[in-house]
Amino acid sequence: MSPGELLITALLALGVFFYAAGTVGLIRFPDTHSRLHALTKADNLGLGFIVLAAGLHWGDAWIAGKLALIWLLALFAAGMAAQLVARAALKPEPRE
Amino acid sequence: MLQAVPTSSIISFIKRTALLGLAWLVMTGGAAGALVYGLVAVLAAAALSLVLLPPGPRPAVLIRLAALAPDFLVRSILGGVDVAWRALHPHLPVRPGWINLPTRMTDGPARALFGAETSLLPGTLSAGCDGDGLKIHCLDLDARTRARLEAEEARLARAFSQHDGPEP
Repeated sequence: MSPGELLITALLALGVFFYAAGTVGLIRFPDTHSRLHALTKADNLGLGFIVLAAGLHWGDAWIAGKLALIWLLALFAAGMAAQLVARAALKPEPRE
Repeated sequence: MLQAVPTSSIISFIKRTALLGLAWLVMTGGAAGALVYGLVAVLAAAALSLVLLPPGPRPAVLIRLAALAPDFLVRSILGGVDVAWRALHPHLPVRPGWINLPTRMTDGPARALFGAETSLLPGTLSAGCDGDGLKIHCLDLDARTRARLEAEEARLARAFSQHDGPEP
């Protein structure tokens, strides 16, 4: 294995690790909102590492740019979706 | 009869055209044959975006937003590491709690972006607004969380030209 391939493999493994950690959090955390923390943050980092690995694998600036754009949009969507789910998961509190 | 187009719309149109144009270039890999279609699509998309999301009274300062990016990147990585560590720790070290964070950001898009950013930073998650404040869920509630959120709010508010403190 060349050093480049080794690096790509390590990045892929890191990405998979964070996806797995996010899923473990989803199962283990005590309530809906805590579970959302695990999903948004860990999965984004997982995607980031996998995008980095894919970019290095192809070694093309345009493809790297496209992957970066995908990651940015996914980041944005995850942040927004987390807020919407978090808001929907709030139990209606009795007022007055 | 033509109505006068406000300057803010023209500036927004130029900014959005530039951003969408960049996105088109990246998506087509800079292919020369796609440029003509890109020109039409980008101009049409920028015009449509003015209808769907009209420019607010306080425009985002793109350069200030971009300046926040490196720090955000580092801390969103910390956010992922932090939550992964807590999830895998045998004792599950979480102390969930809520913070009500007053914000000076009055526009919907600025608030939504702040909420999204908050949700990616270590230990915090936005659950929408409640009156003047954002409801922030904290994975591990401690004294430093509020100060950190307030600093973050101030920085993003500057990027959205909302630096004058809370509205009266």
